[in-house]
Amino acid sequence: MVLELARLGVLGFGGVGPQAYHVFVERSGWLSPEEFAENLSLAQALPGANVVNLCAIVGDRWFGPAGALAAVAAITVPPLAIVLLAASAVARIEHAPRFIGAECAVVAASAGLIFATAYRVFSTVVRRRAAGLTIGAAVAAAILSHVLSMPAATVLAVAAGIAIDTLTRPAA
Amino acid sequence: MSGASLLAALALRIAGLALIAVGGGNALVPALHEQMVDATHWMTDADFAQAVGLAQVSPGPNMLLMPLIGWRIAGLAGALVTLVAFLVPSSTIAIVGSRLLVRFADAPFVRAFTWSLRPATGGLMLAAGYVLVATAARTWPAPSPAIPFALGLVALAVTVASLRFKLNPLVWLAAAALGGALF
Repeated sequence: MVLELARLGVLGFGGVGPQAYHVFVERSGWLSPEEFAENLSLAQALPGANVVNLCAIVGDRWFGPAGALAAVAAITVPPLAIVLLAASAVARIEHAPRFIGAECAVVAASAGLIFATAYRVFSTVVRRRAAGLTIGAAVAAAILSHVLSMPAATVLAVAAGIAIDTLTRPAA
Repeated sequence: MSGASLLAALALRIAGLALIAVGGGNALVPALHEQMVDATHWMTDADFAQAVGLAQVSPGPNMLLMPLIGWRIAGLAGALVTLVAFLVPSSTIAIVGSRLLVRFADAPFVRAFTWSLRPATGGLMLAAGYVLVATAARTWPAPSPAIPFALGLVALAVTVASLRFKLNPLVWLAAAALGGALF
């Protein structure tokens, strides 16, 4: 398991999420497709990095707390070594204007990748009733949190979402 | 600040961020920027932009941005301290949370809670993207009024391209790097 996860960490460029399904379900058979979807949304709902949380949950389920520790270390430490080596390697050219230009463009492009992920996240909720209201509250909260530095706004958006969902759910 | 007290302060701030980091590493970028650049001045805007760029093009989970920032601030010890400070609270919550939620998965409040997190996460990602474009625009080597719009266009083009074509995201990052270096 440690070897599989270390391999996932080192080969997972641009975030390991997309490749995680392949490793957890198809290669190793640790989770059925349904268990994977269930545990991933749980990992996303809890604070922390999504795939790292998933590793902690799966490691705990199979081998207890020691398994969780091993799984989390396996997914983070090997790629961290590569990142730090890369960071040392670029330290010599980091003030060249062309390098800074490339870097700024990469940062802007990764903003695009994040916008695309936000779109996919929103598209999973738009079919629900009152989704527009909830999304509006979430976007307003994000603006308040980060443009005006009011971190509590996000907590309020989640609370608003819970209230809207509870009030609009058809009585069973 | 002396070495040990800097490491302790760094660990405290990162552990605090770990507790609010809903939605994965990328949704945390605005809060990280606020803590590491605006509130503490531990790093410059340019250092921050570089760390974000490097974390995006490197392998591994996106949360490795945090130890990379720790490394820029306080060397190898900083990297290890931020890694542990982030992972211990979030992994503990994940394990305890999964054991609890497995038991109460069908409770109405739990379902409403997990559903509400999704739009909130999406909103945080929009803010994260905005902060990244703004940081890149401030870091650009030759400032001009057109730069923020040009970088915003790059971000929108990558948004549309990555939704339209199912390619490895590295393709878009590499194309942007080439364009940025030549421009």
